[in-house]
Amino acid sequence: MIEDDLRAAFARKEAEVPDAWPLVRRIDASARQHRRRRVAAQVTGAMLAVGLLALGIPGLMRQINPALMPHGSAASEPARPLNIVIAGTDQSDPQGPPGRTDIIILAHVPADRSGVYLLTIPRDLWVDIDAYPPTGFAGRQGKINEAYVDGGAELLRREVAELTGVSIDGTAIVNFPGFVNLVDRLGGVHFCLDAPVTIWDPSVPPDRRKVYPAGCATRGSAELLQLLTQRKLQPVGDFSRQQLNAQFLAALARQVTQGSALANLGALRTLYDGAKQDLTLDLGNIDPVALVWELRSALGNVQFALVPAYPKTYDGVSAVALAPEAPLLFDALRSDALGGWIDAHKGQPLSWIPSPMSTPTGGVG
Amino acid sequence: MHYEEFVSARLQALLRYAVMLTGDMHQAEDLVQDTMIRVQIHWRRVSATDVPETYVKRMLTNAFVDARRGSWLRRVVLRAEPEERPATVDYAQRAVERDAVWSALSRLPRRQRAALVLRFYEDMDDTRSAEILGCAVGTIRSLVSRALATLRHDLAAPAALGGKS
Repeated sequence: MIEDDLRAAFARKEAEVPDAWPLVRRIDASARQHRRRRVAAQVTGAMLAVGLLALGIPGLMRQINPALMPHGSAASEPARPLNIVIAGTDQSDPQGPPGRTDIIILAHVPADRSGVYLLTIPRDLWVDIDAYPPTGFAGRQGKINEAYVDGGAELLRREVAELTGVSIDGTAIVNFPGFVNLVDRLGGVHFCLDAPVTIWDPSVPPDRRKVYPAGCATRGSAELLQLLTQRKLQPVGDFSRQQLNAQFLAALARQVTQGSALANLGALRTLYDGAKQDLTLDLGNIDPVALVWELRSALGNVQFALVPAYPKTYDGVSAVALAPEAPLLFDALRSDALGGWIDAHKGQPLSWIPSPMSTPTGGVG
Repeated sequence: MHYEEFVSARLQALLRYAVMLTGDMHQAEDLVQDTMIRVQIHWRRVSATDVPETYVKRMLTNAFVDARRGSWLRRVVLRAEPEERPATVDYAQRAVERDAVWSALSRLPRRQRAALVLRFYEDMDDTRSAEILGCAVGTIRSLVSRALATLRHDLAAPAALGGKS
């Protein structure tokens, strides 16, 4: 029957259908060019042809790695450095008081998208907190983690912007329940401890306290929450906590980029749709899914550094001040040279805190 | 829905459909590229339709039916950069030698060919096919029956066409 022959012919032809992904990139390049021409002048068929000639070299299709992400609607165009403040609060009841930002991290993406750099900011850093009229906050000197209490994510954003001298594109705040949900949804996070961590518990004698040994394991949300909130690992300051949290974010990024969640945009959007209620995101015009997609390979190269600071007491309050090296770090950040600064300081022990720490700046192994 | 989501989910299927329409991988890519550029630019309008996928398929089918020999894109690109297209296979020759059905298909008028692909490859009912071809349901039926009649005739002929009945 002719109908059967037809179906069979179509079935045979399926083997000749090429992979669609290289085409996506060509389409995007052509569409961008097309759009630009339309804005600049009347588009004629000839102009479109010129644009496509310049970009859509058919041979390129054979060379493009299908795994290369499509350059779709980029989070920023043209590519410029991005800065986002990530903060973890100790809020345990979403309906309750906002909690304090015990973890403040500036996530910096250089213009070339070669990696993601995390700068941890000590929560006890003594700053001049600006007034914030919307909440009636009059402004005062205090620890930077008070900014969130007094003026929410927006005031925190401003303080970090003032501290570092860069403009901040957005904020991502996560509380305890949100963190637990995110980790549970991932089925745990594979995370390595460089050194044993003893859990602070004044109700138990020191030799009976829980110790997490050094080493790697896939850890659940309860365990991670306990590890990442430990602050009394040094006599003063929370430098170890900063480091652990930065290491955790690096491990998280690596796990997500290696998994199937970033296999394609659909999978990423599904992940995001599930996760978005566990975060308070304010990214302005930036689409978080487009952003993560654009950073898909950059997220495989996450490095971190602690903002240099040392313990100092102000009016009887035990706080932390910027070390002399800090302005150099912020200079590097502002001139899109943070990667170089981190490379130069990698492996050096921190000179500005009482007890030595291992790998104060680090990358992902 | 976002454009990237649509592309991610649908592009491969669209490309398959285009290959069945054109019978040729390169023409199919050109066809999809032409169409998707317009889809991306007019995404707001496209995504506002009930079923964007159907609308896009319709755009692509129209582009196929209305096009003359190959897309103007390919003709222009080919002319300017001839070395980019591998000048290897004579598709027409290959079709005759290996697949008489494809050879016969390629001789059909484009609308008839599209109607066949929609019914026998996409397994679409006549109502949906009519939506995509932008014609009446009755037209789909007559397109299909005329196309099948032509194919039966062409493929029933002896050795000259590679004789397959």
